Amino acid sequence: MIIALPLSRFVFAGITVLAGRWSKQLLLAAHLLDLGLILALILTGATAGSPVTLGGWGSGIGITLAFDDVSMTFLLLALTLSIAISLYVWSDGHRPHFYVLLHFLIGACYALSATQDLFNAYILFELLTLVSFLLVGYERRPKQIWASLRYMIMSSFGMGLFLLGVAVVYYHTRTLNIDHLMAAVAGQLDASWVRLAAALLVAGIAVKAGVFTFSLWLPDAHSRAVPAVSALLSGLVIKMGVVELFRLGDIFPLDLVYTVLGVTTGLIGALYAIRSMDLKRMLAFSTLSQIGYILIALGAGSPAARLGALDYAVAHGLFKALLFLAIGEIARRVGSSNVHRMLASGIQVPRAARWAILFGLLSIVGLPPFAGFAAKGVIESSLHSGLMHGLLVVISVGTAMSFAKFLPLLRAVCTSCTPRSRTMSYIWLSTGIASFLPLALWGTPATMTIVLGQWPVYVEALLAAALGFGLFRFVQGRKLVLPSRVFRLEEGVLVIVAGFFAVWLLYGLG
Amino acid sequence: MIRRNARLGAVSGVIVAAFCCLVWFGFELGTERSANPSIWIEANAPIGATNLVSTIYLGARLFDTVLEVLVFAVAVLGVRHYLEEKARQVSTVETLPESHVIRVSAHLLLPLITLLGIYVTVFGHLSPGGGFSGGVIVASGVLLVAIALGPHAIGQRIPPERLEWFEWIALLMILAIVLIPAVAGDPPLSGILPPGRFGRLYSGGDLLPLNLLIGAKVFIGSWGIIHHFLQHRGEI
Amino acid sequence: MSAPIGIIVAVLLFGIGILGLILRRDLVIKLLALGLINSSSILCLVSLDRRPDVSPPILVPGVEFAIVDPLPQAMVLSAIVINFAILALALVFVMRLVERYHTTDSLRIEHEIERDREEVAP
Repeated sequence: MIIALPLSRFVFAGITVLAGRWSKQLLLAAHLLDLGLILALILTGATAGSPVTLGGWGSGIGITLAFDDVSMTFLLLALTLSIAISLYVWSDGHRPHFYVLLHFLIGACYALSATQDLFNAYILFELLTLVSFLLVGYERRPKQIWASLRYMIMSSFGMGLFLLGVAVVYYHTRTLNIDHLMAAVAGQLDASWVRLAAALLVAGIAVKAGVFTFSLWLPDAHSRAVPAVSALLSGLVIKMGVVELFRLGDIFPLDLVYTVLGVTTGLIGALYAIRSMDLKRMLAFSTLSQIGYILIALGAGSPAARLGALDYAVAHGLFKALLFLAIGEIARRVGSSNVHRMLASGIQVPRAARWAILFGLLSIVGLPPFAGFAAKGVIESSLHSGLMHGLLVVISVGTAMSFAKFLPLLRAVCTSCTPRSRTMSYIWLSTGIASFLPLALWGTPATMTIVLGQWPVYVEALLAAALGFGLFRFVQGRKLVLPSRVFRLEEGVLVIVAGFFAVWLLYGLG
Repeated sequence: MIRRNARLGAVSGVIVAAFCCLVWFGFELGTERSANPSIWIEANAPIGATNLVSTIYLGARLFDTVLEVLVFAVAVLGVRHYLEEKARQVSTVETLPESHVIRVSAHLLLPLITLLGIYVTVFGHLSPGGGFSGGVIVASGVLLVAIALGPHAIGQRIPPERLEWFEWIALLMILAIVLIPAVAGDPPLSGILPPGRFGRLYSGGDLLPLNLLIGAKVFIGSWGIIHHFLQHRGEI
Repeated sequence: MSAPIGIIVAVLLFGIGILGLILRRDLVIKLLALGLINSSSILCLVSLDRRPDVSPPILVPGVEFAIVDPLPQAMVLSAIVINFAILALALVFVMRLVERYHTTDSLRIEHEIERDREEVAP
């Protein structure tokens, strides 16, 4: 029954191809149907139920879907972002092809959130990559096509590694189901094949999940796409890789791996974000950096940290999408996404976009009472090691530093520039960000009262933001030289293989 | 430039060699867990197909197959989107007409190839084959005609837009077959037709219709890709 | 010794594919290398259960014999179609780039793209 969610989206995609004239109405209908299905899911308590094998076959034979905390979180995130993006593009005149791809993307995200089968995940990732690849190159301009091609090649390579990992796993366990794998691997976590399989699988997924050494296609692909597409990619598609990392983390002991990957991604992403003056590219780097947060939380291993990782994934999806949409709109008007050029052109920022940027900015920097603060608070309060805590604060300061560039944008305002549907999109996302804290309080009262009750969390947040803004002033004039050749294809692939080694080594140490 | 390439070559060579060694030794070849095909034979019992692989990919793992068909459909959509701008009606290369032998053989071979493709599709649940292979075989016959008789030979026979329309209808029918059991109260993807007798043509429940639909979809999709390439380049 | 041979060769091909992807500058050859990489993982999957004296998983009514594990075969079916789709689309993209820049050399295409001042359209 629950499988109807992704399948209905695919049906809508098919109908949209045939009846392109009614694309927008079909989009609306699809959302209403999804809303209804998800509500039905929640109300009938299917979420508490055990995994469902499609078709009624046995769990060792068929494909299993499960609706645990991870699945529900990302299902809701997918629906929320789908609504936001649909509102944003409502007033644009897109061809039916665009909407078809949207339907496919969201349907694939629904299915990926719930799947418990490794090979099913492989196919869904390939579908997701294919659709994103088409969406990134949508306007058919050479820069986009080249960025898209590199994305495709690196992603396909990553999936090749993943498939090798699946082969290794299958050779030794004869199953693809995650629960069965957990049981089969449990006794032999030190075995050489388990180590190899874990390294291959994690390396493959890390290419999609936005981990620094693996996802070098990300800055170009996310920054050169149409704003709606960038928002979807950074907000949702990346999270699907994170979902699979969650699942892999359940099977293999990957705590050290995730922690180290998270710290490197967080720090290096922040460095590049500080230096980059192209706003969309900077947002893409910042996505890399924020994924670092999620990975650190995953690496901590405790249930509270897991909750923190989920919270942060949702929060980041919301505010990153909002920022991409707003900055994308401004960049369109100015004709460039370089911040200096934006300020020099004397452009008047539409009022709705200004509020959107404000909400997104405050949230990503971690100021209360917005989503970013709440999620960071949960993560920080679940980390017990002082070193990790310190590193997280450093990354927060880095984030604030990189976003200080946005502050001058908030000045000039024009009142009637934005189409109404875009304003609705901003309002939708901003409401999500603002209501994150109350919702989290309602959903997980125990954890949230702990987080909110500790005054150091507030002090840290305010200090980190202030320090970041201040430091940015300081480094603004200086030149920071960072290697930029790594983003080419050849080095990117090499670095993925090197990353595979790193994961392999870290697994052994952890 | 050469120096940089040599350095890159050396570094990559070392890294890739280390990768291969790591995988070879990490695989622990020879200590596999032995497979147990009888679980598949038991799972096949209510279906009654002879080709166990088709029981898997059209029965137990039908969801994977549906997704894969979707991937193929998205690819066709993508090719269409990217190549449809500049359609050249006149080719830029002057082609000599193919020899008489080739033209006659192409005419003779096309029906045989098509028949083979349809056979492979229809008997997909009894012997190796199925929708994917069958559809590709028929599409290769069309490609043969395009190469031997010239690109215009195809376009005359089949109107493109109609055919692509059929492709998506086939897809929707596949999804319908998948979803209908849900309406009837059974878990979805559990099949709607009763199984016939084991080893006969009419067996395997809805494996046969699914194979036919997939074959149609793959054929039309491949044909669509060929068609768009032809239109874009104006020649083969 | 059949299963190990298939897997050993598959990993070797995978390595060759990676080298080809990195070291060759021609875009079409890069795509060929990518195809090689994907095909080698498929080869690895297919040769997972190769033992002497087993037959393909096609049952014959009334006769009992040892058959190969059918699940990797089904996985391979999907993987092949997916790789075909990816290669087809990647080739279309390469075609558009080549038409625009009149070269298949990836380095030159990158230089040209960097030089083109293309900005976000209004």
